[in-house]
Amino acid sequence: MSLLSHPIFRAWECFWFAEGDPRNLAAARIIAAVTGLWMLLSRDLPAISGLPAVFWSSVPVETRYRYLLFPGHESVERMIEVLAIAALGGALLGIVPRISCFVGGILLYHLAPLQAIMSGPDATVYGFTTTVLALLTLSLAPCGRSWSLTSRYFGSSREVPKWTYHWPVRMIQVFLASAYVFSGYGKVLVFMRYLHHGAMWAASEDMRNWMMIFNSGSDAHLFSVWGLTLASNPVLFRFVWISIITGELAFPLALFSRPARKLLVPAAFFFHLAVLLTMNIFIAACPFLLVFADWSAIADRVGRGKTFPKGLWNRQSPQLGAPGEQETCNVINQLRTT
Amino acid sequence: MKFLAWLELLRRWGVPFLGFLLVALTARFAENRGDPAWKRGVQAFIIYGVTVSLLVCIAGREAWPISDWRLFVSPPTLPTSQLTIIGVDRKGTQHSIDRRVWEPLDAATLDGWFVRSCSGMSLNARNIAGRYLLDMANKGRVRALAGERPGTDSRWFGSLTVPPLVTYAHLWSTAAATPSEPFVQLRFFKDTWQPADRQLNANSFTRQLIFEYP
Repeated sequence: MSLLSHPIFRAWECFWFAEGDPRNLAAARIIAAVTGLWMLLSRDLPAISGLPAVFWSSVPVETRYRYLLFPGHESVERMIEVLAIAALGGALLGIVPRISCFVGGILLYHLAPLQAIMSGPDATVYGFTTTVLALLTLSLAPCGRSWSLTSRYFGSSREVPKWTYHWPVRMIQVFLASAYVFSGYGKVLVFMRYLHHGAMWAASEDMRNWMMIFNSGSDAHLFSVWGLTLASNPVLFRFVWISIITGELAFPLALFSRPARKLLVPAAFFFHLAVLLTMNIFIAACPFLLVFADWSAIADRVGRGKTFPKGLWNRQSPQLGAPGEQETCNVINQLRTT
Repeated sequence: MKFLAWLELLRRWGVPFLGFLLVALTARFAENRGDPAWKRGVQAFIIYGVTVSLLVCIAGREAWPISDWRLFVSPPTLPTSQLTIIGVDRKGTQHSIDRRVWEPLDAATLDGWFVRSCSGMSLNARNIAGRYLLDMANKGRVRALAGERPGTDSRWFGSLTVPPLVTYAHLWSTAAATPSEPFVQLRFFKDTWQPADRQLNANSFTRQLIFEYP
């Protein structure tokens, strides 16, 4: 048996390089562009460059060079913001989509850390993390073949293999899944550390304290009833805490199994809503969960006049045709059907 | 150990992301050399992206935008503390300030900046920051009195603007709820409390004046 016919390689091939639909890739492009635009136009990031230099005094030199961000260049940052808006608009409408995605991704990498730069170099929770990675990934694929304003007139006539429509969607899904699973992994590590010292529920207590902190303070929060009610019941909180960790660790199943996707993706939306209501924390990247939907099935349904899509959840099914491909995808298919 | 120190240095300068870009560009150029080369380029990109992402997550060291996603894993410092900025008008009346006036600064960022920087700042630097923040507070107050939003972030989307990471109640949602007198002074307090105690009694906290301007 050659190395390439080993089940692991076949599973790899099927996971990343199955045949895809250009509409799912286009949907991923639109979701990334809309999320990026929504975030970018909801902040006045260039104004942060115009803050007095004293606000920048704690920003380490490596952080400034890493993102090429320096104080006192508000007008330059305004121009960069306009370019980023144009690039994201291009990505949204499918106008030179690959270049637009690349330029948009690079410019967001530059602009996004402005949100957090005064308190640290890490802009993870501010909403642009998946957007930057998704846009750069999409720039490597023919993401303008569908749902694009210009593809009919200026699009390339070159035939591309169908796997090129599939792997970028997969990559974005993997980036998203890693956010959940490693958030859960971090909590499990803390739990194990405390368990080693005989304090089984200390990690849950830490989280409960965080919840109380995010619902108290001298400035009133938007929501506080739900969080304080939950935090006041340690036993109920432990149950919720375990459920959250279980859901986070289980999220990668959504990459392989359609039933799991049906359960976990709506659960993730509900989780973000619950985090907002109980901890007053808004996670702006949650629209990215829509990349798990099967947009080609939705488009087919809508096109046929059936507005309720039965096959909403992205099957990411390869179009099996060539001899041997059925066998190639058995590993994934077994996972999908169990 | 030297190797780890090198890795840490590379991470802090954003090298993992530069590598991500480099592999992406390589994959892009491979596209022009036919389908097999294109696929090899894409495979290299996937392997790099997944591997670096895994390493960053397992090591727990951020390399933004390749994130370690360790959210709420460190225990909170107890008792907890928070920066509270109070506006004072000509009559000496103290007013709570709607946090939206600090936009484009996020409330969490402003708190983080103050904690990191304030103790090490000269009096002159503190005064520059104080003057700027007093001006921001008064401009926001004027906007709120005019029936607009006190912050600047909602210039495009209005109520559909992405909320800040940590959401606070909108204190100045109406002109009537907004202080009519201009602020002449800002007071920066450090409020400290035990979360469990304050849950039972909202006034169970200590307040320490850190700085006032002017």
